[in-house]
Amino acid sequence: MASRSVSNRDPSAPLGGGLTDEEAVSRVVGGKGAAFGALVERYQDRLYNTIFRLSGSPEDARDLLQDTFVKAYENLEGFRGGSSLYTWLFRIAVNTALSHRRRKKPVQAMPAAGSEDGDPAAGDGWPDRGATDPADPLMAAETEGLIQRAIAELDEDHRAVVVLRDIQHCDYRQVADILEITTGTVKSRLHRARLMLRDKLKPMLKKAR
Amino acid sequence: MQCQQVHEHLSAYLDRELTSELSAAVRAHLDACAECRVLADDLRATADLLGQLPVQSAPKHLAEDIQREIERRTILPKGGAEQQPQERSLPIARARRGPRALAVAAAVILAAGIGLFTYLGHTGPSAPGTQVAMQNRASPAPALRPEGEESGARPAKETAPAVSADRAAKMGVAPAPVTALSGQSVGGGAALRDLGTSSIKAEKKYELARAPAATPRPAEKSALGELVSDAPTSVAAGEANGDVYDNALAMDAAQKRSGHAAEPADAEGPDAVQQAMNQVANGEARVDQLQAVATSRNLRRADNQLVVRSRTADEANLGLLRLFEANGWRPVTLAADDWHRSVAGAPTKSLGKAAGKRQADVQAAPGIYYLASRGAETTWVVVTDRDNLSRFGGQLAQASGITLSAGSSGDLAQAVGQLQSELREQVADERSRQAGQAARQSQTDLATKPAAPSQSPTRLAFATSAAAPTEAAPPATAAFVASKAGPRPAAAVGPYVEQPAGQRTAWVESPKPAAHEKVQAADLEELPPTAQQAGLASDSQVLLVIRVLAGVREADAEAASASPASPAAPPAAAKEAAH
Repeated sequence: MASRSVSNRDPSAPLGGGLTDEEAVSRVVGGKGAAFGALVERYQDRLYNTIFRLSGSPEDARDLLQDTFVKAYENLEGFRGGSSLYTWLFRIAVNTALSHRRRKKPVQAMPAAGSEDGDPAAGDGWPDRGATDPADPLMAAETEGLIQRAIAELDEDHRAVVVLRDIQHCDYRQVADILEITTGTVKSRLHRARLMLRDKLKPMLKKAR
Repeated sequence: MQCQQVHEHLSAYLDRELTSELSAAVRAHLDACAECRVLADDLRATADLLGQLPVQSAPKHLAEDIQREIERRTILPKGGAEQQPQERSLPIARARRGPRALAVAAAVILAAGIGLFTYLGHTGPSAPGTQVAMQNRASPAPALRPEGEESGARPAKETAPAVSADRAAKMGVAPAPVTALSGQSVGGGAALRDLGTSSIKAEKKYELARAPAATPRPAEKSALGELVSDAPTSVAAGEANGDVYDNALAMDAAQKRSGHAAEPADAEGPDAVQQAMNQVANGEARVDQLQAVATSRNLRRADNQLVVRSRTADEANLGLLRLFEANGWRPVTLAADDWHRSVAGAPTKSLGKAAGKRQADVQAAPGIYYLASRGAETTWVVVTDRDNLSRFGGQLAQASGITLSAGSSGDLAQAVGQLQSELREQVADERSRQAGQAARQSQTDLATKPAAPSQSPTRLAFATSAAAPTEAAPPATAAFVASKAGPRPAAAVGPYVEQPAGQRTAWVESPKPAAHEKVQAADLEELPPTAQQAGLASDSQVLLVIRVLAGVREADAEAASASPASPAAPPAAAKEAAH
């Protein structure tokens, strides 16, 4: 599986000498819609990755991201800067993705190949050791699919926390701000989510060691 | 610290989110407790596993889509009338625009009516089964302007007419059908609501659009107007024997004998389909040539199409036929041989019975349809109105005779449910708008009485546009035929007129649709100006092409089973985040 490094720099900092978030918002609200394009360019990848992991579908993610930005644009005048634009956009994105999932049918976890009872740990459907080897794209894709499925099986509260923390690498305070919960709740939900994921991914964890 | 207490803090400890004191306490416990160390290792490995997932970048052109959507909403806010572009403009990815932007701008002027869009041109293996979608390619939007021209820029509609409908279609912005049945411009920009977030599966994007037809297309007959005016010609020709069905068969047989076969239309998109339909209706082409056009690359880019994928053609065709009949839609032309091959037994009988009905039945039908079938693929072409289409959508979602892939019927139901909702909303908007117009007209009449009603030459014209009267006799004849035998949308209440050789003759609809009272031209001036406004505007007419693709379910299932389980792109496609 391809790994990546994630920078913890301030996401709202100006990119390449461009506008800061505050300046861009100010310009958009002031009638300079072009500045919104800069915000889209700045946040689209991070938001897309988050929405994709929450929704599990690239097609849904595309539409949901579009919807997120449209909502943001329409409500930008209501953004008072009480939180960072980063937090505000992520809040819209998470809520949009989760509400979309609620409208859809519950996801039925597909049993892994070779597993009749659907218990992924029981069958041979799990990738062998080396599945996370980035040099093997097919196996890496399979691993990714299994992880994504495990995430999708979490309830939305736990899924949102684990995606924001372990995939988007937000700190607890950012997660709390985005989800409008306390850091204590973030802490407990994240721990619970990891425990559930550990159970679902246990064979993979053992094989990967 | 006990194990249970440590567990509560373990994730936060791994994330370094604990105070130094608490962190030290947890670390001390882990040094002494092997069981908790194992748990800590598991949790760390789990978090690492998630953290190593490839970052998915936003798809290309997404910024453009967002821009277009925002601009579309800016121009045509939900429930509101057409507005001028606001100050905000969004030059996102300006370099990638080019002709596409012009096409989008052109759509503001050219698009009218309802578009039911299905885009299934290239269903990937990861999206098996039935997929039904609507895609609006005629999203009205202002002309995109450089940032420096934000203020004071001309509204898009000033420049849009420079782009023809054909060009718009070729550029991937197929204009929705424009109808001029009543000759009444429908200038009010009815609400368009984006359904773009209602994605179902791959390649599916829902949008339903109706844009104002503020300006007739120059030198062109309106697309749907032409269709409606010409399509029933074969019906009228069948008056001699009174049998539409036989007439169609005879026409087909004659063409087969003569070997005459018109080339598939050169146009693209819906224009190509409509052109082919007109050729069929005029006896210039066999009905199966409509199929050739409809299934060619043209229709893949066309709007107004619905694709039903089923295990066998019969299942879907039977179901569709039942729905058509339940809605009172009548066949116009049929390719008998193909029909018998694809659908046998009772449906053939019932279809023959329906087709054998006389012209009056077709005339009074709320919809008409064509059928073309070749091999495993069947194409239905329906002309109806929005109310009927809405009803049909709901029926289609629940039709037992139409086999859809497992797991997708819910999506289909969702899709048509949204379509219905949109249609109802637009119908309500249209009625409201027309009621307002009628009220205003009434006030005007009171104020100006006894002034003569409008003298607009198109006000009473049926199925003609501004350019049609300048052409030779056939258009007027076609209009005449259409007025007698064409589909009678519930909304098309009011007078319509034939204009052959300078003599104007009108037919005024009586309470019984099948009968018409002939009046003289002089009487036209006395028609109440609001007669046409009693019902929906004629742009409620919808051309719907339904393609039935058989056997794809198994193919898709095989493809799906051979593909990775992950819905995500392979890691090779992943890019580093701009985090």
